Amino acid sequence: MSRFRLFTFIKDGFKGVFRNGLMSVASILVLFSSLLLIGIFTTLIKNVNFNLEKMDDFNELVCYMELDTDDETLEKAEQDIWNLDNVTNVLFVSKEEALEQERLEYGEEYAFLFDMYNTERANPLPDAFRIEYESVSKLDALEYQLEKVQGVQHIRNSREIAINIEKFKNIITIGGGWLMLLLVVVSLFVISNTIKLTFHSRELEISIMRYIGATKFYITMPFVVESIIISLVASAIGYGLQWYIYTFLVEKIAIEYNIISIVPFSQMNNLFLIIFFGAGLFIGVFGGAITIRKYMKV
Amino acid sequence: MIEFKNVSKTYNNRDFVLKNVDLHIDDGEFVFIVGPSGSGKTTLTKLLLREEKVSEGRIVINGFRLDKMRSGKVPYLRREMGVVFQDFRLFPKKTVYENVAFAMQVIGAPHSSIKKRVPFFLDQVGLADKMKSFPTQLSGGEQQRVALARALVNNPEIIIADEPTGNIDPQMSIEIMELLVKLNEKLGKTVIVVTHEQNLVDRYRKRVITIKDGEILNDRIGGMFDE
Repeated sequence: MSRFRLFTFIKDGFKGVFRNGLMSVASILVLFSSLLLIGIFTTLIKNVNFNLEKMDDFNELVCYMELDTDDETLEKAEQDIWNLDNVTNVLFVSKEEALEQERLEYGEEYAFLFDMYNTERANPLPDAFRIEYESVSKLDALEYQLEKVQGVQHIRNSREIAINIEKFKNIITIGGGWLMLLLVVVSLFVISNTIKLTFHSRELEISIMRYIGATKFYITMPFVVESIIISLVASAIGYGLQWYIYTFLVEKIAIEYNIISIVPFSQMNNLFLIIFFGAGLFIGVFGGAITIRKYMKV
Repeated sequence: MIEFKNVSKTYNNRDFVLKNVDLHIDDGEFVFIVGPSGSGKTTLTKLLLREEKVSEGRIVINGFRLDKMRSGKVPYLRREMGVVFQDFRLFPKKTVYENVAFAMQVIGAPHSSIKKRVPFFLDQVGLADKMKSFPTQLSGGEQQRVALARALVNNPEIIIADEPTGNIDPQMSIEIMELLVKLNEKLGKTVIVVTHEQNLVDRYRKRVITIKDGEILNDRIGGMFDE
């Protein structure tokens, strides 16, 4: 393709955008709204996951040992636990540490209650292991294996909470994914309709082009360029607005009220660039191209 | 050379619009295609332009097999032909010069060639002084002459004129026909005029192909309008 032709296509594309003024504005508005919604949902999913992942405590179980477990058994048990699948961290909490924790939790007022365990009575608390695991779906298998470890007396977990968190994460991720897909489809539909209207408004022009021997490529290119321009404008507006909303509003609110942790915009910048410019161009160009192809009967 | 061999066209595999048409047009011939409304003239034109595909049979135009042609090749076939329509089909927002130049731009002609050829062909159709006018500022006859210049500018071998005088007054109709005859006689172009105007057909005494109910009723050299 010669430089002159490329220049002609670009010039015609710009002409098309201005000639179909209102229609172009409508396309930009629809596309940018969809992209912004996609961006907002992505932000939401990212932040919810970010906050949920911080709740590591729920992916943890406590393995209590029998009261009279000797040091050698404890050492072997720790080693065995480390070797189990799905285990990410093991922390030994001795019976003395457990008592001290209880004491701290009850406060100085009740300290005397705990003093007697140091002198008159034996410490009633067992040694324990705090075990962090990776996946809640493999929790049953892990518990089964832990029960077989020598010296283990009882296992306590936060299974319900962990399962609910996992479910919530899945709902947010899958639901958000479907919603985004829906938005992409709606955007494609709207862009396709806009191009269809543009196409009909230029039917005479296209029919003349066909009769004088213009190739499909020659006829299609100005429309494709027009779609690219619309998409780029919509993407730039959407990206700018997303940046503004996120940086100035969300981050500000989060800092001021300290409600939740927020993923910094800079960490999601690449993702936003892909969403706004990648998806924007895809929706614009693909939406335009399929419509043109459909209506380009020779 | 244009050849139709046993060509039939049906829509939805039911009604025959053209039935077993055999037709041979040599290079440099001038042919009128006549017939009443609904006879199949328009379908025949559409088949010539490969706007429609044949249902049966074979069409060959200047070595192109239209019945086997892929859609990607159609633009190259159309560059072999110049087409003039009843409704002119000019770009209303382009000047006369731009309308004609556009036909050359589309096929990727160099700028220098466009600058030379467009004024030449506008001069040939008597519109050298109207290059900067817009189609809406011209009469029907003048608009048709712009369309004719556009059809000629890429130097096609075949000119197809579909009811070229349908929207213009009788005097202008004769002027357009004179131009077409001149193109045929002086430049050796093959000219096919689809029309229902009896006086024009009778005036020029060229080859007349009459179509009725999708079949060729008559094919006479030096013939008259015969429904």
